[in-house]
Amino acid sequence: MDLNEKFAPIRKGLLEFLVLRIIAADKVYVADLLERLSTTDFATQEGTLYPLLSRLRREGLVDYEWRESAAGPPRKYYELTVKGQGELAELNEYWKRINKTIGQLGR
Amino acid sequence: MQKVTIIELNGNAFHVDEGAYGQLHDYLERAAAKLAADPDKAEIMADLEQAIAEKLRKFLGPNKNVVSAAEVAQVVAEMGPVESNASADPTAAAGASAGTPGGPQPAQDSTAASAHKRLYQIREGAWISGVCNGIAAYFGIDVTLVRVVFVALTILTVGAWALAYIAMMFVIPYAQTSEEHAAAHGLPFTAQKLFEQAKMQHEHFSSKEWRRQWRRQRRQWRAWQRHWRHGFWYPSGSYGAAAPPPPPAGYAGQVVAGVLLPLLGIVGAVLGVAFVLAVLSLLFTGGILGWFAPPDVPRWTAIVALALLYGLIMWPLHAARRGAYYAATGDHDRWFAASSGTFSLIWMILILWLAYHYLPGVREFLHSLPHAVGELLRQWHQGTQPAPTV
Repeated sequence: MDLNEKFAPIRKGLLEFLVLRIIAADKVYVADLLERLSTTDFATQEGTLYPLLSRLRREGLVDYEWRESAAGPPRKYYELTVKGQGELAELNEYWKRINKTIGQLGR
Repeated sequence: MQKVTIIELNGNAFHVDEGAYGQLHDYLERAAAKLAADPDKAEIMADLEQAIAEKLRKFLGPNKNVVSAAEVAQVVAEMGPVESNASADPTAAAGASAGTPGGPQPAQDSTAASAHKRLYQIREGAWISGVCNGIAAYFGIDVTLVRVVFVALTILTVGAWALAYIAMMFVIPYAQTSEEHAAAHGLPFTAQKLFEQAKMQHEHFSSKEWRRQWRRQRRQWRAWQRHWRHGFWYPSGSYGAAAPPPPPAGYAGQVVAGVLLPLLGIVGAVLGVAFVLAVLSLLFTGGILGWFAPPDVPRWTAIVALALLYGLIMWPLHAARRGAYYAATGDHDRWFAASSGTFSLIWMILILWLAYHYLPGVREFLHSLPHAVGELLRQWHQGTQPAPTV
């Protein structure tokens, strides 16, 4: 019955994809990302996001630069690397294929 | 009463009570354990601590500098459980990220909002309410320039701009926390600065030594003020009795005083303008608003009487304003004292000038003053030479 729980693994798997999409659109810092996701089904928290971003950076998909903020300590602004852009393109393709498959099977 | 511990989160110092400390410690321990295999463990931990620090800061203000257990519980809930992401394995701890959709949202909103430079009223060094001060800080220009522009605009718009000022006074918030002060100036509010600020606040609000010192200084300042007033401006001491500062007010008192202060400022300014207009009207037409002084009363007497009446009305107002200022900010502003002193001086000079012009007796007295003083000195000098004559 509980769809929320049933789809939890799928959402978790897709989080990386969504984060890459958001970062591809413009440079963001973690609070931006959280805010963007907060209104969606993919709402997440610092506890999840920091380790995820750290891994994406280690894999060379994203990189960050420190930027001074108007009120507060400097922040890490993330952006996609060339490798990250390639990865995102593949993920987008894959996602389209899955959607097509779902559309074609059954009703 | 609660025992308080000082903790450090990525270079930010915080006071937390024991329950809060326990929860934070547990959360960070769990996070560290989860990240044990993560090559970027140190960096992620620093990021998490920084995020916690920013969330905790929102609970603190000028009258609250200790974080409670309930607040930490809220922050920990917002942060969410830390999951290892060392491998890209999506099956690990699958359900955990479902979290609470929408839960962390409000906190993120305010983080984003505080990132920008904001227009605040700044009380420190304000003349009326701090609007000009805040605008100067916002644009990074000299406050005198802003004030000159405001006065010019008021004159050009025949007073309409004063209404705009009053509107701004009520609409623009006051900068209260150190974070807001930084935002008012658009300063980079770095971790280093925060740390210093936290240390300073700690010393200011919790150390008995500082309190003692503060009290001593306040006493000195008050005594100096009294002396200054009695001995210099008001030998009669009529103003000296005005407004011994009330004890520091509580939060409600501060709010009331904060509302009252600008109102009293406006009333004072309106009365001042009315007084000047009345004096001018008396000087040029011999009457005020259709009322004319009896013909046998000389004009200068009417003006002096008016000045006395003005002084009488202004005295309680002035005292109330001082009291409100003290209650709102907890200190005596030198600007305030200096500006009211200047105004008093101007009134005195005005009265003297009028008396000089319209009262022959005063004129004669002033003209004979150098001679009289010379005589007096000579007599005193002679008097001191022989044995004193009683």
